[in-house]
Amino acid sequence: MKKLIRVKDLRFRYPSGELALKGVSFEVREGEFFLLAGETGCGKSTLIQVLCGLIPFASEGDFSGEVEVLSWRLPVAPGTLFPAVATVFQTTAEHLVAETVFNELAFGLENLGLPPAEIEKRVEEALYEVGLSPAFKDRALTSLSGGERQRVALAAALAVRPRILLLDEPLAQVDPENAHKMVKLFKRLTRSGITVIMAEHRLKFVLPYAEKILYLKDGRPLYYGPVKGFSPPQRIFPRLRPAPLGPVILKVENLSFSYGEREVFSGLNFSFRAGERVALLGPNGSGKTTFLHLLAGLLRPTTGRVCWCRRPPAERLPLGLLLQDPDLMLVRECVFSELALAPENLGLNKEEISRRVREVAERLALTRYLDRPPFSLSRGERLRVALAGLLTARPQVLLLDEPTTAQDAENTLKLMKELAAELVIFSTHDEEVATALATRVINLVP
Amino acid sequence: MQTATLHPYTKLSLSIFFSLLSVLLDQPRSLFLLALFSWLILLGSRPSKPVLKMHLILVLTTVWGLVVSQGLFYRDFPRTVLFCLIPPGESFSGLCLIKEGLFYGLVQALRLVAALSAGLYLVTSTPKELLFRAVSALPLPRGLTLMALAAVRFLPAVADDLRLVRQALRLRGYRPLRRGLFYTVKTELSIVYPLLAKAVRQARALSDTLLTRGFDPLLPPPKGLLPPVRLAEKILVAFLLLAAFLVLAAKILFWLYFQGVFYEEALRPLYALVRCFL
Repeated sequence: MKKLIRVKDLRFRYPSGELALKGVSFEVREGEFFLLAGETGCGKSTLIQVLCGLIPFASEGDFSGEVEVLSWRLPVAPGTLFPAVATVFQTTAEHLVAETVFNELAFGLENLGLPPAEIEKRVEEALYEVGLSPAFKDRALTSLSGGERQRVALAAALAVRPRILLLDEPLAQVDPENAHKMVKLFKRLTRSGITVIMAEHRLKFVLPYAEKILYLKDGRPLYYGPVKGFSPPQRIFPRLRPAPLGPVILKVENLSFSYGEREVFSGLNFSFRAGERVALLGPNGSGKTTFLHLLAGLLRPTTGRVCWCRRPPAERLPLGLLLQDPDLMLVRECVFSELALAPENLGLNKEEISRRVREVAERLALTRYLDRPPFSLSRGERLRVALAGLLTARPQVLLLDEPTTAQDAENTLKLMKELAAELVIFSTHDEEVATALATRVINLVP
Repeated sequence: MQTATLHPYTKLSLSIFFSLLSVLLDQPRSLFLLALFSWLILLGSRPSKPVLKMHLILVLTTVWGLVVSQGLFYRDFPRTVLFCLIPPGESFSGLCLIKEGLFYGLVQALRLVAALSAGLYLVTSTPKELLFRAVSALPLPRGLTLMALAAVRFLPAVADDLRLVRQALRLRGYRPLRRGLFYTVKTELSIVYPLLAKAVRQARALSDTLLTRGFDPLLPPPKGLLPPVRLAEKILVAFLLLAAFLVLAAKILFWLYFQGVFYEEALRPLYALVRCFL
């Protein structure tokens, strides 16, 4: 089989100084299912950006080494590689350009200057390929679930009939059932001659189907070769010691919620006790975020109610909610004042505020960033700042919306260990995380 | 008359026609008729109750704001004082409601109502998708139309994010004014940080997408993805454009006469028409 990609001693340093890739070399052959693996922050996404031409063409930083994609030697403009190379990015929602499914799929085809009839035909073919019915054509992208949007992004990439398909963590927001279906689809694509390069850290879904793997750790290749010879590093989640159960703090009675005519769930009844760590598990669109927002009082139930049985003392907040996008919680100019916001609102004195900020910063390894602006930190660090901003208020109940997304096992465990609240309720897609870190798992079904 | 099913370009032409006339016309009766027609066209599209409610709120606030502000702060002459809220003093000219000001404000409000109803008709009666396609297919550089559409598309998302940021702050114990005005203003202003950071992130993501999906800002607009314009609508659009052009020409001729630049005896009926009706 012909070599389509050749990478030799690739190094890349971001303008921030972070060395993302440290001497990476590999080759990819035509029709191969190639897996880029490694924990979060190991350089997978950077490598995908190199292969699609964004780095170094549209990115500052130090780039060295040899990269050949098809017959082009980088740096070349990503537009030169299009449509032979198509990319599906990790944050699909942010990378969609159109309003409806049809327009999203037609976008690349229009850029190729194809006639309308051909565009219509290719759109239908691509939708069929990813298992979406033609009825999806007129759907607004905002009305789709995360998994459906992922499929649309994939269909848009396939519609231009690429030779190489680059996928950056396509399973990050997908439940296990759909993850299996998608990986099978990728395998099927390789049989039709498309080379699939997939960056993913949830290995158990992909390893049975991939042929070759490059496993990265801190930007350095740890293993490169056939999947058969690769034994994946264990994701170790030592069970957290459960705290003794206390009184009921929070009760949900006959809770129902609908968005317009779409019912998300109905008739939910739960009691949550002090000392519990509850995991909300469920596929996309099952209502995990909605449930957390209902508990936090951000949404009003259609029927039923949420009852708070015990109120904390005045120097603590009753609850803290970590949003799915923690960046939306960062409103201050430096980490210290970000962490001080909630204690300030509680009316605590300066000494107490400073004491709490330093204590929480120490626990979440943020002490050296206290003078830095939150948005100058990495994604994982920003998540820790947002979480620390809640912990300084010593909330009685902590609600965490997908705190483990794009976090590796080690970070996830560290984070969960430091959560000092009487009751912690968190949502996750990751069954392993849920079973290891929670004392109770609630499985929401759409 | 069902106006919702018209082609997006016909709606766009109607909207431009009403906006243009609302600027060109000066006679209150004509402006009233223009606003009325514009409103009837909006009603003809059978808007939903929330749209009607929004329209009503916008119209009432526009009319109220303009009429009252012009009534109170009108500075031209002649002026007829209806009554004074604060009577004039030795060093203060007073705050009085002026009849001519109220009338002037009403005329300005009619202009805005005409344009507002037409714009609302275009936006609320056209499926967003069709409107986007219509704008994309305009003979303008694609870099411009796509960016404009992307901005429009992200607006609702920004509103959602703003709501979430505020809710998150509230959950962290923030209550406006509880810790003083300075603290409140500082916190309210700081809301812009996460919104700005997200906007930058999204702009970066969008640019990555455009680069990797073969987008060329100089490409001609995509064709053929819109339904054809019916003949009757084409005639209507031609008529509207012609009417707008004739009004503009008449106003220019009248202005030239009024300024003493150009006068033509044969155009006297036209001058009279402009003076009385336009």
